[in-house]
Amino acid sequence: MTPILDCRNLTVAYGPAPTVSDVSFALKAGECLALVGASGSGKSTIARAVLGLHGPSTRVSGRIGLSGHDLRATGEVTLSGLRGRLVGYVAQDPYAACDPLRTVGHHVGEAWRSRGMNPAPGEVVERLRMVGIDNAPHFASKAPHCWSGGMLQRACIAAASAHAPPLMVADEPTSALDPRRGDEILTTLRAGRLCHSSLISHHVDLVRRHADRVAILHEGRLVDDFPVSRLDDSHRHAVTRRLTRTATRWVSKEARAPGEVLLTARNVTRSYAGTGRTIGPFSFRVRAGAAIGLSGSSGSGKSTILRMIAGLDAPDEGQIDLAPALRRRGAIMPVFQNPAASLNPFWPIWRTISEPASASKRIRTADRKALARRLLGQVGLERVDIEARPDEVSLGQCQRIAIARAIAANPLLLVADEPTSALDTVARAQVADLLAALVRDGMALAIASHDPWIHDRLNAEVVSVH
Amino acid sequence: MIRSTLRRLAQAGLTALAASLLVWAMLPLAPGDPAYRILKSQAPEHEPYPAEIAELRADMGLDRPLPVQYLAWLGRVVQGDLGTSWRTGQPVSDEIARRLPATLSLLGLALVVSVSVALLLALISAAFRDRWPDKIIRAYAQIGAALPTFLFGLLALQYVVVGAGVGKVLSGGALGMALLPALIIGVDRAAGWTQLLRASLIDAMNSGYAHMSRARGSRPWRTLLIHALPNAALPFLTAIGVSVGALLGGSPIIEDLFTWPGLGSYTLSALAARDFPVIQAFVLVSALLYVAASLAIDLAAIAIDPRLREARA
Repeated sequence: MTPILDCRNLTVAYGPAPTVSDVSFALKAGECLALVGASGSGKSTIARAVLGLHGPSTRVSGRIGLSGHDLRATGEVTLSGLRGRLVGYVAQDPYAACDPLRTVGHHVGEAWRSRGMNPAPGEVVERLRMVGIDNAPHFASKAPHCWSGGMLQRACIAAASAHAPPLMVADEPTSALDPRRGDEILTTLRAGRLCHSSLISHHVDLVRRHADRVAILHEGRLVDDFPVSRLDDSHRHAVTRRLTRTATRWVSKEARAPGEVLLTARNVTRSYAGTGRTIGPFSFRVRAGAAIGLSGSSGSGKSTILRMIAGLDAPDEGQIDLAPALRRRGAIMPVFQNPAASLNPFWPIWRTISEPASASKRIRTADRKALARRLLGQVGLERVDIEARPDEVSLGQCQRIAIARAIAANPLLLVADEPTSALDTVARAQVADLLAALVRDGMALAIASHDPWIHDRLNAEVVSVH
Repeated sequence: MIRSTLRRLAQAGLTALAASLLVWAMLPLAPGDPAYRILKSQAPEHEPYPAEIAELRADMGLDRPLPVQYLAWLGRVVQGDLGTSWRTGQPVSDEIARRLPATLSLLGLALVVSVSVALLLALISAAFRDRWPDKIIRAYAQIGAALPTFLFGLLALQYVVVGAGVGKVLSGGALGMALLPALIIGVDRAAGWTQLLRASLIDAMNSGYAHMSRARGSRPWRTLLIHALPNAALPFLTAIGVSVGALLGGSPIIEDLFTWPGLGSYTLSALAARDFPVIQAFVLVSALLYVAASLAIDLAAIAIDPRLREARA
């Protein structure tokens, strides 16, 4: 039986060095293959190659066979005809994948219109209902920003599977969502009638439950390929063992004497204008040398509480008392979800890191570079070039650079909003370890995350937000 | 949608009011006694007597408190009375009413030309990115954006009208006559917009939704028109709104160049004669047209982008 997808010696190069080299794999009908690897290992590059979406400046070699078509030998016009019919695509971030100016109904309907057809009346709503959207007629007429991430990702699956393609490529389809929603998405994606085979690239714990086969990518090469049942075999490749281990390793909880109380929140509530929704009341204390973890699914109000802790937003009722030490500038520093977006892409990293220190007084460039070097050592990046720009380092390193920038201001309290959710398992563990070390050294930390693993790792007192 | 529209309308009203205050303040804030300056501009040879000045001050109400003067002036302006020209003694409103249509038809036509040229060139440029059509268009945009309009206009007059004998150097203000000047202004103005719209279109073509559109089988042209253009239109619209003000502000020079009998050339002669009410009226009309253009652009943006329709707390 011919495979649905057959990649032979696939090599893709954006610049002089190939991003993906000599990768071969095949996918049978009905099979779900998970490509697993750290960020930058070439997963998305392979996904784009399978869709034939690399631009003319990218060099692609090898053979990509899709249901009997040789994609590399196919012209652009025929290729657009194959996309959507033979292969469907689900992107990582559903909000980025939908045109913000148009309704989600339009987005799903585009699956037909872009091929010169018109969806049958009621077809779009029916497809949305099939992926579990309640009240589909109402939501179909809404713009993407009115949808929750999980719902929107399901709508994207409905759009991608409109023509029942035999292959579905999903690039990190759940990483923007919390784990429970992630399970729902992968179940929807694999649900019987929607498609026959899928190629997903994803985190180890979800792969374990949803994939049939796992292929491990490391620095652009396929280093391991095996059935998912063998994931925990001890004789697997070293890279495989590292990826699976970091996903499950826990640190032991050590008892610590609680430090001074820095911030006290009493019966704090906050409502959202125009929605009638209120969160709270919450009461908690933030102590030096301890972490407080806000848990809850996407959209539950975690970020709002963090904004109130950071003083960017005032509570409707109740009060937040700050210790006098926290009132100085730089005493509370933020760490953001998307590390790449929070660093200036045009600045060398020494400039970014030393910016808080130079905010109030002038410092000589040599001193700023020395400071950046010292702080990089503190976050475990002594080998990173301080002249590098954010796009030359990995996403996980970007997040550690962002943390180095935050500690440059000598803060007493770090406020971190989903600092690990954009990262792969290896980087996630490194960032969590770094935050844990800072807390051990006496820093207070308020962290919002939908991931119970990180709260546990930081030994955080958890406040659930609903 | 209705709330954000109403809020925008109220903002435009406030802006217009603030503009009127500034325009009015030009008279009392200018150095020297206004009454003296009026008499001097009517008869430059004659040094006015103190009695003449006092009489005129009382006539114009210049001895009343400033807020009262402003409100009285605003009341007259709302009724369409923009004062009388110091030079001619004729009502300024009549002259403006006579000349405004010529200016509006020239600038309107120039706007239509420049928007169409920018739209077409930017779309071609983005569709053929880094290939030869794109390179030619980029060269045009670069040169056009760097050249001042009056210089471009002079060159066009020299080579198109005088050299090739197309059109006329002296024009009469009819719509048909407006075509050549409008083309020259429009093609010049379109250069900067082409650069802006091309960059926005290329940004939009690199976005997640454009990739998604391509990944599901849409042809590049379709993705460009259905997804990239509406998203790129927002900064483009803002630039057009700002440029309406720049076009009006530049109209004295442009109209003088093409001997166009519009508001701009009238103002230019008033400037030379220090005919204050005429200058004041021109600034006021420009400011109001600018506020109206900004309002129209903002309402268009609200209509295009659903995210702007939500009421923000």
